[in-house]
Amino acid sequence: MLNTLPEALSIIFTLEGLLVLVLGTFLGIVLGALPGIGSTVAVAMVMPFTLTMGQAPAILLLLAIYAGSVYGGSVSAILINTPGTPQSAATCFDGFPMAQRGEAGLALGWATVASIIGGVVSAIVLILAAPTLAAFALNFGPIETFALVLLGLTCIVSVSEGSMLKGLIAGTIGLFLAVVGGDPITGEARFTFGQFQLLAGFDLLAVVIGVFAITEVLMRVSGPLDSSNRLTDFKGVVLPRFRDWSGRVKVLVKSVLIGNGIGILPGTGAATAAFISYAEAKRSSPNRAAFGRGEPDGIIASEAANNAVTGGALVPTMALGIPGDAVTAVMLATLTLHGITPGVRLMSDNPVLMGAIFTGFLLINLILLPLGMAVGKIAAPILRLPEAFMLVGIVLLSTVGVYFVRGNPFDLLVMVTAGIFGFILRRQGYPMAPLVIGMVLGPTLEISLRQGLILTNGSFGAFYAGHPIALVLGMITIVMLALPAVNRMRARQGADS
Amino acid sequence: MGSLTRGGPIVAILLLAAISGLILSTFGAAFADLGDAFSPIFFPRIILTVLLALSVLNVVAELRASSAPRTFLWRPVIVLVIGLPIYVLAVDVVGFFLASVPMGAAMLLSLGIRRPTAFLGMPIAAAGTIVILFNHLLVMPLPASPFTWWF
Repeated sequence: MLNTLPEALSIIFTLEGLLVLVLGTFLGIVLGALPGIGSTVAVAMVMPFTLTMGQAPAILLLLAIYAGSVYGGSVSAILINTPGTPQSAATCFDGFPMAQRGEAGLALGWATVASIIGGVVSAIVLILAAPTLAAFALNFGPIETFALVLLGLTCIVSVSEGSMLKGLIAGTIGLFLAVVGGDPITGEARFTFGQFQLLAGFDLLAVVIGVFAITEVLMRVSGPLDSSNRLTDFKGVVLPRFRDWSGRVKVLVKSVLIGNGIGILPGTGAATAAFISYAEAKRSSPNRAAFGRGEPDGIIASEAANNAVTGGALVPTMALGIPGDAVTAVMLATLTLHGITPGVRLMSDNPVLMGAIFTGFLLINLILLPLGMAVGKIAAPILRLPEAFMLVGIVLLSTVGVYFVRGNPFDLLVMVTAGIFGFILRRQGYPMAPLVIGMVLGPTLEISLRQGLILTNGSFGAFYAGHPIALVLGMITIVMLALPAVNRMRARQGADS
Repeated sequence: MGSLTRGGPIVAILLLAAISGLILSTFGAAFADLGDAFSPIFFPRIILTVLLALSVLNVVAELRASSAPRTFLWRPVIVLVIGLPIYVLAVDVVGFFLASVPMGAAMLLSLGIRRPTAFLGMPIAAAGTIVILFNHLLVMPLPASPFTWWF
């Protein structure tokens, strides 16, 4: 690929190429920051405009929107506790508490740097190892996916602040909410109670925005408002100092690896990666005690992983023609519309084009820094408004965000109901993060379990017997579940002695 | 008996009742009998059984727990709990702008904002900006009013 680099660079470093990279990334950040739009809608919105473009600028524009929107989701997650995209939901856990204590700029700084590193590493992995990784991803069948999702569910244990029992209940409620609607295998309606709107199930983003944004608004108005408004001091993104990274590099490296690894697996997605990475960081970080109360490691884990997914998801898309998630499915359609056939021969048949795409993707992740800082500057004056105004703004933006997902007013009712339900539960100490994790992972868990049981003639024991990858993932799951109890026992023994 | 006057046990008992009802509903419903993994109710029954077991433990834990009373401002919560469902239903009928302005004004009044320029001006400015951005710049139209397509 290196011998095609000069030609690839000559495609990027044209006025059209550079405009596409800069404007696409900026638009992606803005669209990602608006709750509800999300990466898939943002990419789909822009796709028709690419039809008049050449092959390379068209794909680069979509990649810029994709990478920009994944990062942009963290802006609203940190500043107003409303994840712009589901993949930023885990960023709320520590980003918003940092903003509440007057460190919004620094929280955005951690998110920006982690996003850039996650994205850049994923771009390098894409360039160097796409065909090899794509071949490995083919080893993941339903049983391996089930084992991976089960591992993802262990993060319910780590995000259950206060009461483990209440966290498990919230997580299981999330799993139940995910089964409402048409059965994925037979298509029969489940728990719809005659409501045809429920046939398509609860919209994930409506529930996520309900339990995060609307619940937060209700929680804030139920107590005295903070007249000091800690966001008043927010003047834009503040990059962390070099020495602040001490002890955090391990979390960053692990999160990037998790994001890349999960990204290459078709059908898992950035939200799963962010939650698994967050759980792993909470388990292994030296600052784990501060997780959930504004710990930068939590932001690094979530943002590095969800941005690392972007390059990873492109691996099966480009090298096998299998989309890694919904966004790459839209990109696959765009490649086909432009006369490019994704698959194992893509790189050998189009070396210059692929060189331009891969190099452009690397540049997109690098320009996230100045563009992210520019968006922070634009957002700053809005955040100096009094808290009562901010709460009204959150309600209006949440409504807009949920409406745009499917244009269905029923989703707005789901959002409000989820918000009120979340408020009642949160007042009694039930954490909301496990509910969202359950809902995100529920559909994949169900379909992989049922497909696996069909493959093994109903024998759950055979899941791990003939599947070494599933066995390793199963063992990691057991370790992740047992560790908190072991740590507690050790702490108790230490206290006794 | 005192524990029942707190919110925790009441919420735990209501959750248990709702989950029990959902489990019972799976036995009354008619689904195609295709065997375990093929059955549409196979996975939900596993989830609901786990949830039922956890809820029973939760009721016991809540009845044995004690908690300190916390500050609770009823007025703004009631305004939102009643106002939000009405608002989201009104969005589809009178359009985003005309539904958002009264909702925003009611919220601000319940939060103690009394200056008309503030409790009316802010919702008009916020809803107006959103309408201009989405309807006219991004061309992603929000529900419009029956009177004009402008808002």
